[in-house]
Amino acid sequence: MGKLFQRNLAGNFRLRDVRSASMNQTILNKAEGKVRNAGILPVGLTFADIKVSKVYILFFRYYSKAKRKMGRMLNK
Amino acid sequence: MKRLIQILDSFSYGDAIGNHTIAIYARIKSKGFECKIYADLIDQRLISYAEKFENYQEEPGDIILYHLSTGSRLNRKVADFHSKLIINYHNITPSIFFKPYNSVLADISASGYEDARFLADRADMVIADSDYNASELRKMGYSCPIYTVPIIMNFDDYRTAPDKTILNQFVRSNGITNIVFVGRIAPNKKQEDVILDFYYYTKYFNPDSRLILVGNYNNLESYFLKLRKYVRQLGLNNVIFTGHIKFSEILAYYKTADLLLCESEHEGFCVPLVEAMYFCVPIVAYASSAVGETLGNAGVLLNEKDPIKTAAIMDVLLSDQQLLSDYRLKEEKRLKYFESDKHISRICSLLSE
Repeated sequence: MGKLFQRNLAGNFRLRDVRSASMNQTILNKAEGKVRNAGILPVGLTFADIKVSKVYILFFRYYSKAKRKMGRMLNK
Repeated sequence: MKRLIQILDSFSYGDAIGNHTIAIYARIKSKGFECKIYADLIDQRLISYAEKFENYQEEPGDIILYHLSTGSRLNRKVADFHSKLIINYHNITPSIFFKPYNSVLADISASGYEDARFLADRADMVIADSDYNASELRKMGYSCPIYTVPIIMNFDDYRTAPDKTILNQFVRSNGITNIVFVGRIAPNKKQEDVILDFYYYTKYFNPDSRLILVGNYNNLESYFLKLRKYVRQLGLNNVIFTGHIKFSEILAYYKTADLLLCESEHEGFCVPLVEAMYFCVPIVAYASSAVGETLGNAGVLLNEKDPIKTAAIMDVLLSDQQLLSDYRLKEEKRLKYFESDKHISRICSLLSE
């Protein structure tokens, strides 16, 4: 795999191999062990499934704006 | 005396680019430059530093440092000046992230990219916050010299007093683990992935934990509401959205954080990583865009989005004191790289070229 991080002229790290560079293998192995032992059930719900009504978004947007305006006025 | 003219679209109080602009302004004067700042929008608290863009009168020998980070009418206007034009590229969030939530932001971002391409032949030099930003510009056709200099951070600001109420409320060592992410509520930051990681962490590894999402959601209310509903439907009652808060409150959240979890998919630099290093908060971050190069080896870098594995990694890290102190040492070392003196000097020498 070679050198994992290489510094460029500016001194920044250039990423060569993410996995073994920063996440050392010990952490990964331990984490995989924990996953096996935890009996985890994947959640069925995804973020894409979430829907919010447009009317509520509009209401919330105006409510937030009014709240910010009020806050600014009170701070003056 | 040479005049350095910094121009930016919005000169905002407390944001990374605003602070970077002020840091250059404050420090470059001592290096033999006269410095002025011009912007379209100026926060009232910064009015002593800057003037409206319209007031700028070009003089021979001016050097323009243009901070490019969004779509703006100024992006094309700066091309009309005859002075040396140096672009300080802070990156633009791709419009694809905004499209489902705010078409205006998506359009602004798309026009920002068009403008960045337009400036490719006009720029005399570019200073990019990261190699990632530099490579993006090369892909856009920039052939001028491009140098990477990280965003200038004034660590003195972090030494100011944190908010006491929040410190007391969320104090470390009260038995509850604080997982924190700092960054505006925005689709590129992928707070939904942070929430899902946290769901597995709190449900299977550490029920005595909470997630604090620090950041404002202005103009992205639809995304915020979707996140809030997601939290409710996952049955989580230990997730806090702070909304827009004061700097002293942000400091308090860093002071009380046990771990910074970042799942962002687009960052031109990612200031919160450096802030977390400053506060010795261990970091777990997904290796996208510039995240890997900013983090270096000072945290756990994830090369895949696997929420279950990420939750387990968080648990491994947080329950191993030796690992934690190893990473804190690495953070201390990495933080030294971001100390501003050498980078200000570098910017000065680049401006003098």
